[in-house]
Amino acid sequence: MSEGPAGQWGLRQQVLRMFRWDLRYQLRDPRTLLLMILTPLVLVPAMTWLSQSADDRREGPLVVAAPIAFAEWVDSDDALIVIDGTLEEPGAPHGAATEPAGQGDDETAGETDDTEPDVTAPLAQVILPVEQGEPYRVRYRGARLEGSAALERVRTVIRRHEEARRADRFARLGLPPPDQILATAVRDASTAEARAGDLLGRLAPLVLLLLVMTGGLHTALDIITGERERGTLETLLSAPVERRAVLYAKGLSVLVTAGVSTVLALISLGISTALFDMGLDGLDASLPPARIAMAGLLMLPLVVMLTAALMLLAARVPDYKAGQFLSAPAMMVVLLPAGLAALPEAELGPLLALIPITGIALAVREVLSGVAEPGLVLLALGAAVAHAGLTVRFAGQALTGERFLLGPPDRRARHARGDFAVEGVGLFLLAILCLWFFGQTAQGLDLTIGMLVTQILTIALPAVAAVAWLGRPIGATLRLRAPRMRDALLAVIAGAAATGVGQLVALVQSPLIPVPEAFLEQFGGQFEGFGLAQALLLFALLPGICEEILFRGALVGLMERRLGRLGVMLAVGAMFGLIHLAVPRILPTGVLGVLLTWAVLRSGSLWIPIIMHAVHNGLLFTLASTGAVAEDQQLPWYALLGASALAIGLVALMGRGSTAAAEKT
Amino acid sequence: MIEVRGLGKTFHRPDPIVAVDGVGFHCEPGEVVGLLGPNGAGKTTTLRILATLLSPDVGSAAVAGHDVVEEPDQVRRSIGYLSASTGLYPRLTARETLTYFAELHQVPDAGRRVDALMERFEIGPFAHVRCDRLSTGMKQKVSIARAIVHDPPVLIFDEPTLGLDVLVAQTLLAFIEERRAAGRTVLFSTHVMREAERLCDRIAIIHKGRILAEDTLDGLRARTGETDLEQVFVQLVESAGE
Ligand SMILES: Nc1ncnc2c1ncn2[C@@H]1O[C@H](COP(=O)(O)OP(=O)(O)O)[C@@H](O)[C@H]1O
Ligand SMILES: [Mg+2]
Repeated sequence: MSEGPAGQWGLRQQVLRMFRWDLRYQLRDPRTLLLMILTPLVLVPAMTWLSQSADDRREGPLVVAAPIAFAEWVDSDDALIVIDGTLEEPGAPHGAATEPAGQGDDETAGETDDTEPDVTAPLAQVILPVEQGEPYRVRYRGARLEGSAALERVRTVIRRHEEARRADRFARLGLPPPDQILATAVRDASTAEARAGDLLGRLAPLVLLLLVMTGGLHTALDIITGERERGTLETLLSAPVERRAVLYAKGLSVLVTAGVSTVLALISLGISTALFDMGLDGLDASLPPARIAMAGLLMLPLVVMLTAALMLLAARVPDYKAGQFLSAPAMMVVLLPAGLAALPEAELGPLLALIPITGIALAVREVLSGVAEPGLVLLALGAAVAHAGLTVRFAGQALTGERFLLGPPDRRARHARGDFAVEGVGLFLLAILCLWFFGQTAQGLDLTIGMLVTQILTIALPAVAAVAWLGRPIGATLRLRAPRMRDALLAVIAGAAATGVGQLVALVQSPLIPVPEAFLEQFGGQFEGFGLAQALLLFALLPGICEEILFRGALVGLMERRLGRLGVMLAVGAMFGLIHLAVPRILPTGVLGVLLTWAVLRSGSLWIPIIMHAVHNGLLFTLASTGAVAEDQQLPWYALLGASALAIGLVALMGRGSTAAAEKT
Repeated sequence: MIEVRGLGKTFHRPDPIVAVDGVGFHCEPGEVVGLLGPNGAGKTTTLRILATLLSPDVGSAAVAGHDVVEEPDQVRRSIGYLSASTGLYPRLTARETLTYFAELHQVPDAGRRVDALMERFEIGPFAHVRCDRLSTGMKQKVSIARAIVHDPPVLIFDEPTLGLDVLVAQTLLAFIEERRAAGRTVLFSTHVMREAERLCDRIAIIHKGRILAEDTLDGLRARTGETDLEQVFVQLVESAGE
């Protein structure tokens, strides 16, 4: 399609004209101004405060107690020095480790010690006291993950040493053992620069994403969705301007409002950190400008991608309200991969570099803390440019095609066909969001309360509420009818056999996705301190009911018409796998989810997957807690395969044979 | 001035709906042509294609000698389009709205042109009032002024009197007559027989996406033997149904 003589009325001129009017129009909107001011004034200080309290918790209390003669420590076999997270004999490194101790001059040592940090120093080291009464000093490099791990090892060694000494020494003297023997002062020995870089690198991408989203969303919805809603879009598009010019002008408007609110927020961030005198003292160190510039460059494609994504969203939603409704899930979709990069374990690799948002967030973090590998950073940058390009392309298609003018297909027509697939995805995202925000906090407080809150308030309740809100019959949508006796019996055995399914998948995927040790420990230790009955109620029956209401009930009921049997099995299975927010569990749980979905489709009763789920969890828990299965994967692969085949076979038998009898009732 | 041949458009959202099915008609300069048909007949879709907002699946259309698919930019320069659901930017004033579109159309000496239009449509008293505070009648006046800010040779109005009170509707019809006198081409759609009867030099009757007849009012009467346009319409629809 040719767009007429280009020279007459250049693209740039068109863009600038429209942009100017869009901007003027936008600045008259109290909501825009409110967002621009509210974010820096309220949101940013709140976030700063939160991150500070999180920082406080991370730093454990300083260990101070009665000193003992250091000679005993040095002579003992336990006198180990920790380097790079591994234990080494007190030999050559010992000298290096004791060296800084000579400079130690204040008793409290710790944080205020401004001994010059040695970049080549080990990740963590124990510095022995020169005189009696001085604390043992532990230096570690907190900006490196291994540094934190090394610190933990040092602490363990000290504790062990302490306990050993306590036993014989005090027993010999006939004294009651004191609480602690060794005085230690802990200090982060990373360079201030590295600390600042790491901290800033973790925060910057998250803050940036949040700000661009909050700053740009309203503008995007107002000048894109609103333009159609108000009936000005047809007028605008019948004016002699290129479609591309419309796209660029709107993009520029979104970018500018997002940019202005981001800059304001950053200024506010600076002020509030100074004001609260926060744990961001690492930021006192000025980073090399080259690193900051590089980080800025890395985030540029991210900003472009987000802007385009906001425009895409705005072009696709039917109206402003729908856009706002979707903004929470959209925010989560964006923040989740960024949050992933802020985890201490995350490290830029060739695979993560390719993931949208995560790649750049990691690259920014590593560039700022000065540990980046140029090749990987370049890869992340290239990937981000590609992602941005694709998103801009999609936004371009969305804003220049006929569908932009016509709006999305009428929802009512879709609903009349019983197609609630979009709403199903929305419900799933909402559940993840709830789980992420509230569930984890609640579980941190108390496991019982946490389980109840998570299962009932963030899983079952939203599901039932969504079905009711969409005006669907709850009983029929959730398939609440009573199961047939035969199916229920099959479900009990199938649920038990299904324990093999998850383990089989875990076994198959283990060369690719190893289960991290910490995860196993956490999973195993989760149930400690519960009676069997209480635990079965809490970890088997409760999730059985609540999770099935969401997945096999609401999600299957809302999406099956659109996706078909196979489609809904795969989709709900995938969602079931994803909800646990743990990579090693996606596939095993996902496959289990497919089986459970199949069971509800075959039997026609939600009670069937509830029984299977509860029996499955109950059996796993009983085996683990009674020690019958101490380690995972004790069963050989053929046994697991057999159990899986049995589970599948039993589900296949469900709903068979008595169709005529079922129809009569 | 407007030349439409065998125009067809089907919507897939997702079930196919044939909105326009082989529509053809023409309009000459100094002529007012009415596109007359009931709701859902395909009027809006046809006019949107002429305004280059939708592209036709089949057939062709030319406005002021420019093909709507090949030269959309030239077509947009030649038309003043008033959509059925036309709206105004709530946070811009009447004057700003006219200025904005004068800029988009690169109207030379835009300030004077805007002044003239404001006088012609009696917008002056509320020139600096934000559009969301204007009454429906005032809004429509601003919309019309906006559509002709570049003094286009062709006017395409989609159900312009819909939702207007009698007085404003009368002003609008008077304006259309004035444009005809000035030698402009006017194509407007309506489902109100009386409007078509009063204004149109020729009428194209559209039903279920097809043109049933295109003729002067007298020609239509002679063809059907009815005097009342409503009866003419009913008879055409019935004979098309056979
Ligand atoms: N955006 C659209 N999506 C789906 N169907 C549409 C759309 N616009 C119009 N239609 C259908 O096309 C047919 C003609 O509509 P339209 O051109 O608006 O008629 P009129 O303006 O004469 O009332 C109608 O059946 C209508 O339902
Ligand atoms: Mg219409």
